[in-house]
Amino acid sequence: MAHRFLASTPLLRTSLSLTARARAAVPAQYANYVTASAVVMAGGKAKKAAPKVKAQSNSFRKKKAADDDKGESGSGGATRLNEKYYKPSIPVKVEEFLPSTATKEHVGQVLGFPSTVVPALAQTAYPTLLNEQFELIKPAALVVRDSTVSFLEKVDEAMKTPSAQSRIVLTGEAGSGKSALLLQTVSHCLSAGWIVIYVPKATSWMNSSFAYNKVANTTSFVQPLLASNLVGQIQNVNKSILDKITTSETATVGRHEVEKGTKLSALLEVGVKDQFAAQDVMEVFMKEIGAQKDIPTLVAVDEVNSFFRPTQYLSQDGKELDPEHLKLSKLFLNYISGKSTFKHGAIVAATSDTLLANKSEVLDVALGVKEVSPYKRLSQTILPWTQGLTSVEVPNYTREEAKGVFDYYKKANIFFDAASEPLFLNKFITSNGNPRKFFTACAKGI
Amino acid sequence: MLRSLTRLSGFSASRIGFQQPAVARISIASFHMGTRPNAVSVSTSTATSPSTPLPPPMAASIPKSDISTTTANATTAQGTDAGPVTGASSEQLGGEEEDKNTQDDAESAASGFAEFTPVSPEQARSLTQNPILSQLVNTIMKDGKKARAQRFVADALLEIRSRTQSDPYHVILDALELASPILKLTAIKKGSKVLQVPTPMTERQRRRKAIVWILEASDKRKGEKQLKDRLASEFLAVVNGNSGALVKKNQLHKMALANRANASLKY
Repeated sequence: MAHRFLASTPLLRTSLSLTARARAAVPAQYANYVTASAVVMAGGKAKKAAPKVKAQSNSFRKKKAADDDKGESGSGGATRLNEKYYKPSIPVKVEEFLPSTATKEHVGQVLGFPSTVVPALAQTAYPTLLNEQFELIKPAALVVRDSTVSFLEKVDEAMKTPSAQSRIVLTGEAGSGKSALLLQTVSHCLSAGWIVIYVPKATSWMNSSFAYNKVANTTSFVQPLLASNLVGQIQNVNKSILDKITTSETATVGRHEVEKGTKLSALLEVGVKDQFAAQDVMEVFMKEIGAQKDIPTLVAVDEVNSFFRPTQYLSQDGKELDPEHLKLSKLFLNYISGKSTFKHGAIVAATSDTLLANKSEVLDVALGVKEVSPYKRLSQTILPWTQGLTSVEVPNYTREEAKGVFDYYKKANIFFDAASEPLFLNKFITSNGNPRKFFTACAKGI
Repeated sequence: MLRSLTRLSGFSASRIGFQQPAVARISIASFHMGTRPNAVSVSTSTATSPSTPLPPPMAASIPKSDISTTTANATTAQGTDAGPVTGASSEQLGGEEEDKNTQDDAESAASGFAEFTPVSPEQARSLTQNPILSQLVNTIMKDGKKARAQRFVADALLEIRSRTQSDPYHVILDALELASPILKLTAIKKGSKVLQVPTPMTERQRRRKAIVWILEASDKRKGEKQLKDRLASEFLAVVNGNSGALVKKNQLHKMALANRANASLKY
């Protein structure tokens, strides 16, 4: 019977050898039949590694990602590393960045995030390019700058005022330290006991990476998973504070009923467990924390320019949706634009130049960062949301700040040249004091 | 080997068919030896009197590289700054640096890779000024895209640093030294037979061979997509003793040993 397969034209046309063709010609049910003699032979041949017969398949073969046979150490189990070069990583000793240490005397010092704040910051990712620096030098630490001290004073003043009066957007050139200043603000407010809602990558809300569903009889769309993730993050960051606040009235969130007097952490738990209730949970939550005066709220949004340009979601007609058509983004836009307000709190946002495609011309014009021809037509649907935003420009490093950072990089062994004044000047001048370029100049020498 | 070196200097001039002007010869020699052009006395003697045995490359008259001293200063500075927790490790570092200094002195007599006197200390690891790093950059560069090549080398250095917590420049120096062959095989025709004759190479040629082998070996790495990761892994593999580049070097050395009889042939 096998010869009929051998002689068949499809097999003849293959480039297999005769033995391979013979093996391939045997039907499956006969191929796997094991005779007694085969078992005995297998016992004797156990130590010999039998070569596998792989019929050449034209189908796409997945490459093994974890092909670590030839890592830098070597093949097999014996890994011999040259002890001369492999050294343990020693974390750099830095003081903590607390409200008491964020003062003029400490300008130029690099202070690390306090141990109470680090688990909260770990709930959300760090901004992308800052994360690369934090991966390289542990623990995560940022320099105290003049702009830090003055900005944190501003935020402290906002503690007792409605959030509609303190809607600040951090602007500046690429790599000038906007996200870093925002991170320091978040850390400061967490240490001071505020409720903090930190969104490190607002772009991920608008770039269609989360599923979205249309809400019946409206033009709005809901992102259930995104809302659920956000609710979970807020709960983990502010757990102890949210236990102290309770809801003021009964509310219906999705399919659940939340009674009056439930703790806000329990309310958020509902949103974590049921993603389709998460949007309603967020709305009730924001209303509740805005209504109380005991604990101020900080909403910190990075890459806020994605809130002021069309999203990458499409409506049913195939047109791009605006952020106001997504319910979660609209909720935040209400607070950013001042339509809704917390009784005590502040809204701090930072623009991002990471992706050119995400730039919002409307926001730049509204903040006065950019000037366009008066004949240029700006989006009339997005422009109203930008009213009343104040812009704070984040400058490049001053010499004192740069020197402090330079000494910190030297301590952290980012570069191995001698930390001399000419070297510092070289790096400072070639980077023009731009923090990101200064880091690249010190770490990479280009 | 020294005889073959002398023969090489005399032979290459006649082979090329023109006499290089004395000034050019001096400047090329001084480039290879890493000295400033002012140190003419040492190079003229090598250029004009091939019969006298050459001093070993990187003669002792050249001042010791600033790099090891600066790192020693850096580690002592770090030791005082870091505090008691890191005191023990900084002592280890200081001890290792001292060993490295003496080792460098011993090595500098044998090979010139560690021997670079920078114009100013902050140029010691510069991608543009340091001859070893700039040779690495130029070898990686394709189609004149120098900035791209510089980025690759800088990223690879940073990757090595993040994996080993030590100076990547020294890792690269060590890796290039380990992977570089000491001679090449030149095929010559004696009658009808083709014979392989071991011939010496200049420092730059040796270094280039090492770089090319390391780049080829890094291309074979699976699982790491970016050049910086592959390059860093390959340098570390060389330093750890298992790399395709080392295999090629050993093969070449074996063949040279097998053909060592041909070294005395006149051609």
